[in-house]
Amino acid sequence: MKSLVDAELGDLVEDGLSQMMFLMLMQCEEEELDADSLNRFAKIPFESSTDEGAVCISACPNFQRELVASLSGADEEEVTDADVQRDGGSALCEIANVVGGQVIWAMGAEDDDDIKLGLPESSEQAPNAAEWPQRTSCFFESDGGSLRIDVLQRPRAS
Amino acid sequence: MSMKVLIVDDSRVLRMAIRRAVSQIGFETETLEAGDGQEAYELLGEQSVDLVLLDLNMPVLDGEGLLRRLAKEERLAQMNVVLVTTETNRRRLSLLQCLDGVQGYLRKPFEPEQLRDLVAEKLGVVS
Repeated sequence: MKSLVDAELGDLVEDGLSQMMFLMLMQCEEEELDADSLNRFAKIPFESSTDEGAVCISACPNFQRELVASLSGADEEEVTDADVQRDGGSALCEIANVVGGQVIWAMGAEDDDDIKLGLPESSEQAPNAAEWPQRTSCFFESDGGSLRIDVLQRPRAS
Repeated sequence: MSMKVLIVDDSRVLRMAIRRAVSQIGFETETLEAGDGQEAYELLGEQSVDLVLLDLNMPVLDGEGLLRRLAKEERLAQMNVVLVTTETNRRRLSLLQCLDGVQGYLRKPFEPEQLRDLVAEKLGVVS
């Protein structure tokens, strides 16, 4: 199972989200991100014969609004706080699903039958990165929102 | 007469995005939606559709489980199914495409225009 580097992950995410969700994202440094604004999370697990991991998405409310508007075809102004509350988690799960697919593809899933993706789930709590010795991350700013993506990985327990 | 397209995906917002792409093919279509394979199975028992856009990675009953169940009941041959999926493994995709009724796949991420054109092609209409 190949490993990803930060820049490779950033490019994969940028390509995927601009293509499918019309989101124009700008990669930024971790310290430029408004980390306190990230209030909703989604993750999707993956595994291979040797490793296990998860792709974790963290986003602020403005990014969720932008995403829901893009997917539903509405203007951002038309998306209410209630819409963001109802659909933000589902939209982040879809990002986790799409990015998860790209990540395992980059890790060699095309020809490795043992690499598999699980089901995405959303959460109000950030993942505990301390449990994962290997982390690859990228950070984005969109029109008014912040997005963070981490790929967490560790050897499978025998 | 409009054509019926069943969208099977556990993400409500993605179903909305797919519905929007389908509505742009320039031909009257009616879209039905199911949030997992079990819901789709029940819906397909009640009415026939012209095309199924099927996600594979879903809770309750996943897309592969739905296809295998329909194949076992010999109902898949009468269907027109396109997989819309993050699945990247060549062997698994090849196996699924060998099932009767599976007409191809579109890998996520995709551009909405790709989906619109594929739906138009499978329904035999020009977009």
